[in-house]
Amino acid sequence: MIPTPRLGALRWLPAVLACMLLGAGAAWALEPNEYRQLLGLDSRRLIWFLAQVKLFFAAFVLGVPLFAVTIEYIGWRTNDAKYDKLAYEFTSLLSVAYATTAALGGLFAFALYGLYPTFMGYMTGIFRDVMFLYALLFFAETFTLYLYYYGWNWLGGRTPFSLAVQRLFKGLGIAVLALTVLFLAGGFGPPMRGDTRWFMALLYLLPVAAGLFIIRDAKGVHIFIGILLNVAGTAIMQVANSWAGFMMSPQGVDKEGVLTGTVWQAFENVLATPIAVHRMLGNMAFGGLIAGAYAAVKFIGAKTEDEKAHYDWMGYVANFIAISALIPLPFAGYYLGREVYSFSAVMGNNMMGGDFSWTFIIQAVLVGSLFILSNYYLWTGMTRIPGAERYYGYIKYILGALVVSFAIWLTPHNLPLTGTEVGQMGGSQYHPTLKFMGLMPAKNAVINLIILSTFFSFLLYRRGNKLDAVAISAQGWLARGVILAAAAVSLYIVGQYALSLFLLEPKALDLPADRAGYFRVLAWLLVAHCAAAVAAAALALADRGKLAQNLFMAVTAFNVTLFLGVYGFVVMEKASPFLRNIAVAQFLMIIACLVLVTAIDVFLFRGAREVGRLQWGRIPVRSQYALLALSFVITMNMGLMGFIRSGLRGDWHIVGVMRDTSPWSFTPSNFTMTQMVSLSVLVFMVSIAFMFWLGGIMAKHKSPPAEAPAPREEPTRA
Amino acid sequence: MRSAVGRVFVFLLLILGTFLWIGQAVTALTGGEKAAAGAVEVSPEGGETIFWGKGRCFTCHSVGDRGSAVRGPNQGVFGEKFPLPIGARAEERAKERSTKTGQNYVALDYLVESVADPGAYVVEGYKNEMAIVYAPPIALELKEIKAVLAYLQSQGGEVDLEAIEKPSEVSQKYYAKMAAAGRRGRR
Amino acid sequence: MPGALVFIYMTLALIALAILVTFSDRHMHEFVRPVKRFLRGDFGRVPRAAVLALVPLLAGWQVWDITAPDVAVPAALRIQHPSSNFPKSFETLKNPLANPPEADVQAFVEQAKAGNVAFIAQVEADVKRWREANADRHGLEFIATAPMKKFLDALKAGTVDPQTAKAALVEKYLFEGRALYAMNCRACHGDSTAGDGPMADGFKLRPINFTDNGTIETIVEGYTFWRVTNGGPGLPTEATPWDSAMPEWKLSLTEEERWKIILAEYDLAQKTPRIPESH
Repeated sequence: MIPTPRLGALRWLPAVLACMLLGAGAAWALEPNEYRQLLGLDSRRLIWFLAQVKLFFAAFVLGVPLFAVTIEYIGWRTNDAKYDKLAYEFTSLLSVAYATTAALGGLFAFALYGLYPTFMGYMTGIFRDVMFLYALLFFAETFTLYLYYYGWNWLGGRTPFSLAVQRLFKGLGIAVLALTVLFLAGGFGPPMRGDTRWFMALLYLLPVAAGLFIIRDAKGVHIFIGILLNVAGTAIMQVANSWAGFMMSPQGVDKEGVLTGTVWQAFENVLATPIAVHRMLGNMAFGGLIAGAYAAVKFIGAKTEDEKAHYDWMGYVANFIAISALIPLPFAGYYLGREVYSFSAVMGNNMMGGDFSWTFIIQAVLVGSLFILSNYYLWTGMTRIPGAERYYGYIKYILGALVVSFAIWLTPHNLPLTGTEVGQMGGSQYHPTLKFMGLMPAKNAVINLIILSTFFSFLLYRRGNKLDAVAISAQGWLARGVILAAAAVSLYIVGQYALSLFLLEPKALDLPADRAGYFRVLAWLLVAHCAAAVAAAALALADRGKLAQNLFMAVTAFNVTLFLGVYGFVVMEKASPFLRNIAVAQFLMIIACLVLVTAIDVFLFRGAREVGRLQWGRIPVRSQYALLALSFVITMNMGLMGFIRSGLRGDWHIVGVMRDTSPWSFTPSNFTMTQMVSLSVLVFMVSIAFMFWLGGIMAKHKSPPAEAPAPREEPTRA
Repeated sequence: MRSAVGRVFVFLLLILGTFLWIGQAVTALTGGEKAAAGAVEVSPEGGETIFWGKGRCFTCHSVGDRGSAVRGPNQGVFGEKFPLPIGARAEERAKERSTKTGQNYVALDYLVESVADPGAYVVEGYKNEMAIVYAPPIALELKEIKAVLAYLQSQGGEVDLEAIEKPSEVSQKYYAKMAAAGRRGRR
Repeated sequence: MPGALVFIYMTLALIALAILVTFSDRHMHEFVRPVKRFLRGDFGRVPRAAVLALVPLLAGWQVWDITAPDVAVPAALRIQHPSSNFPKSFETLKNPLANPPEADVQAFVEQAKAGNVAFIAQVEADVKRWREANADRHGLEFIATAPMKKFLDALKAGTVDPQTAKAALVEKYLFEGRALYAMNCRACHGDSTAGDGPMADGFKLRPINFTDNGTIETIVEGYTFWRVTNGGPGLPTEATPWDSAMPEWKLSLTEEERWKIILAEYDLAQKTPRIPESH
């Protein structure tokens, strides 16, 4: 353990930031922009590279504690030392990466202030106070992280506290919960958008409340510290994020850049929270996959069967976490895109149909590969489950659905054509039939089908070695309660939207009154979906769980993909502004389906008889390459999306406020983007590998907290 | 373990290679690497980039048999109508212009005027429809316009960068106008 | 089918096959075994020799096909809605004629009462001719649409309300817009606005089909106005290499005329412009 140099790396960061803040004022904005160079390098590319690598590290450092704490919690509740050890292993990856992140952050800040002095001076002028807060949050993060990591054994005790102390914590938890509710209701805090309020309530207040509530022994306190660590990390992310958001969608300043509103307004700009939400999920998926890659490398290099078994399991858990975050990610992306359009339709058009349309196609390739690779990993994983052969037959159908969806997903509206082909198509640039695949309704239909298929693969994986479904009626009130609650959630999600559609006036969308019929069709479809949810819940309670799942998934797939996929074109023709509501309806139906079907599935096979034990480690090594490819692809995708997000500003530092007058104020080509992203990915991967290696050396000189035998048999699945 | 890392590293390079290939293919498909629209030097080469890129001159003017636009006069040698390239043609046109206005026009003045005030002396058989290149959306800066002037001079005329920087009074007036327009929207 | 798509689909098919074959060791063996046996010569030496000769030949043919020079036009791609130089101020522009202000409506009602509604110069002659031939009828009756009839009836009865008058005024604008469209745009974009005018076939890039859902419906009005105003020459670099032949209409049409045309264009195509998303 060598904590001193690592802490040392951090110590100067806030100090440096503080120095830079002093004396900077809004007056900077009125001076001509100054740009500097370092060693004659292209300043923009240098910043791009530094920002990207720094972001990779930061995403990892913020993502890992999210699930390290979750896994630790599972280990604590199930009293399974295996999970505790795994959580510790994840955390140890973290502690090495943390110092590098901070050091990179310092380097990045230096580069920004040094190379773009006018711009940074202006930003500092606006965000002076927020930047101090940022520096302070760093202390909180550092403190909690080291307390969490080094306090693992110290706070590992399971002896319950005295009742009085337990009650005190419970009381505190309830108090914070009350605060959360009050905050959500708008009881306190500055005026803010709904999404920001939910973000802060669900990610800051609620976890603290829950953390306090569950404390009953030293381990509980440790978990609480982990939660605080996550709160600090999320806050850091949100703060830094608001600056990026401000550059894209400035608020609280006028056209000259003079602060006319409040700093809070500038902080809580249009895109700040949508980006933060997207980033939260992205970080979790990214953290999971990087940890998965670590496990995969260890698996490939493993010498013994025990090692193989352990790292196979670790990779599986990491991948499971990543996929859970990956599934809602497209929806968060849709929301972010919507908000981009709401801030500026031209920015939106430039994103989807302009400069970045082909970048989005590359992104579609990457996202599609993420889903296909995840499925592949699940399928190869099925080969280590005795009895899963029974389900191999389904794989070709899932694969078929995936590949056809992917093909549609990739078909651009605007095709690259040779002159001859243009001639064959009658001089038009759109293919007479395939052009439909390039439009929104088709894309929405297939991405939802891809998500549903992946979910189906997961269900097959789960039931791989299970013999017969267990009667739900024999499982007591918990099973029934959870299924009913899930059904209620599904009903609420879809039902409230159906209701709002019944009440929707065409006028609200600037449509003539006779278009109301198009709204009603969708509303009735949602009602049908609700009916299916009720039927599924009833069937599940009557011990026809499999039928219930099949029914509900079939109805969802039909509604979302077939019906709305086709109906979307009708709507596009007749009532195109309504298309957005269709996308929302598709999303809600999918979510409702995932909630209810998962709830049924949990109890359907709880304690079911098994064909055999899961044989961890008995998996083709190809699967580990799939896991690795997943982590590489998601890293590249992050870089690519960062390019789009940042590039949307065009030749503005701050859209509409400060123009980029440097020689680098043009949108680079996609090839340049792939070069820069590849370089960043390579540097990140090599340095993180180096860091893991360092961590490995350290681990050799120190034993992990609780020595558990490597899991050869199946653990209760995460 | 070491060999595992090595294998994984090769695998990473493979995937990055594919990614680069996609980026390269897409860029090639979508019109190739676009020249940086940023700083250009006042030189025929710099002007060429502007003429065939940011300045969008090529949407209306061809140069000889390069380009296919016919909306504006060809700037090279083309058919019976344009026996001289613009560099040489400008001298003829400047003489005509001098007699018309009574002011002393040199070839460069004619070029400057044609860019700054395209309607001043329209080539016969063409409409007065040239866009104002120093106003949005094209919004060329004075420096970029100077580069285009150098490029036009290089078409059969004599490139005189010194004159471009310090032109006669006729041109000075236009320079001031274009410079003022180019400053808009920038700090 | 376009080559780019064939390539994408074939690659996907290959990937799907690879996945299906490799996901379990059993499938992998099943797939590899006959191949191995074939290579060992278990299915006869002649077929093996034939295949072994054929594969390099095929590969060679492919390489030759790719590298041999031919005269095809290179593949090119046009950006659909080039907008990097689209001024932000245009973004929130609304067609001022779709919702005329109170004063204009009032003036229109006054003119209608007096029977001397002014039209744009381009249609003046036609309107005059009609009025001379139908001196007994109201001068607006030749716009025989429902809102106009309703307005004229109300005018006769002396019960004009602002809504009816406004609708009638928009009808008048639409009429003028259609006339302007016919004069300026029809040649390329066609009577049906489907991009099939008499001159449409003469362009390398066909004039856009407004009745297609992917065109004017997906953009905000301000963008349409900008495109009409600045035409092909106003497009940024990314719009190359297929340049739009659209003229720069600001040179020959007034702002009001351009808005009238846009009003009529959306109406003829039966489309509504994209509404800017609200927060």
